[in-house]
Amino acid sequence: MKEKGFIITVDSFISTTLVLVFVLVSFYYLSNISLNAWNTVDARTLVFDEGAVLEKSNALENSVKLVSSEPLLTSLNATPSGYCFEATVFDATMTNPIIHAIKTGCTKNSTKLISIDRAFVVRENAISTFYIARVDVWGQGA
Amino acid sequence: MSRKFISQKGQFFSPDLIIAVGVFIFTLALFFTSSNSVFARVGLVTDQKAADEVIHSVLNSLVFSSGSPSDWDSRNLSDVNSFGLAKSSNILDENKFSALINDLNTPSTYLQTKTKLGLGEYDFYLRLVDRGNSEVLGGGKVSQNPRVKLLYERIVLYNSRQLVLQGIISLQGQ
Repeated sequence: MKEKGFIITVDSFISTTLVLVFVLVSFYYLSNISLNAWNTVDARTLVFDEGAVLEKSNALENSVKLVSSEPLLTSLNATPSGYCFEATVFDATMTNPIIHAIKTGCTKNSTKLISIDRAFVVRENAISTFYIARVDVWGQGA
Repeated sequence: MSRKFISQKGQFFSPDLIIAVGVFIFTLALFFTSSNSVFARVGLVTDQKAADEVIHSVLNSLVFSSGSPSDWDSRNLSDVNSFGLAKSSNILDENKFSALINDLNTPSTYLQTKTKLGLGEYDFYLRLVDRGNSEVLGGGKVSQNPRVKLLYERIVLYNSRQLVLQGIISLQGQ
């Protein structure tokens, strides 16, 4: 090896480079830490809340009895801003959608969709009929 | 080492060494600058995660539980074991909500109330908002210049109206 130059050996050069790359890659991943996972938890919590509220406020039952999406839409429009909600009522076989509503101003084009199904019973003229409501949520703009 | 790189006064000198020291100091400075900003960010995310866990837990209790004892709203604050606002899940009791807001708004009971809520060092503001984001009823405190401030929302029925329960948790900046 020549007298001049501060790199003593090729081995030390490679090891120094590897350490530098390792440190930079670590910093890159650390600087990208975010709370996005919690946003999913929030959306999941909200969709369970909305399912419960739709049932307990009788919005599901009223929409079936009136054959109207209006009770559902009123409830969906009162959900927190920043989230889009959609509700669909199916018959017991889950094949025929009977009523459908989507929050005003939302379009369903997100791939990050969280869905829940909630069963409910509507009693009319002494006849009880079983229905299933599917509620979807996604982030507005996601 | 060749004698020409050593001065007469015994000080070590070499252009190569100067470059090497320069590169070393530059790398060290870069490392400390980057690490400080990264560690600050990681610290903030850790603080936010801790606050997020606390607020999730507190609002879950409020929305799903009636509290202990279940008639806590008619008792002294010292007799309350835990707060809960639910008649049934997601349906809030108007009297309990008013009682809790009153405790959060009263300076003499604020600290004890937030301790019983399990909020520790965090400040807490609780409110109900309608679809226009107007506050229906609320109370509590938000830290001045907070280091961490998080808003968490739950959908509830209050007095047969669908509203959004918002909990704001904040931690004083240092």
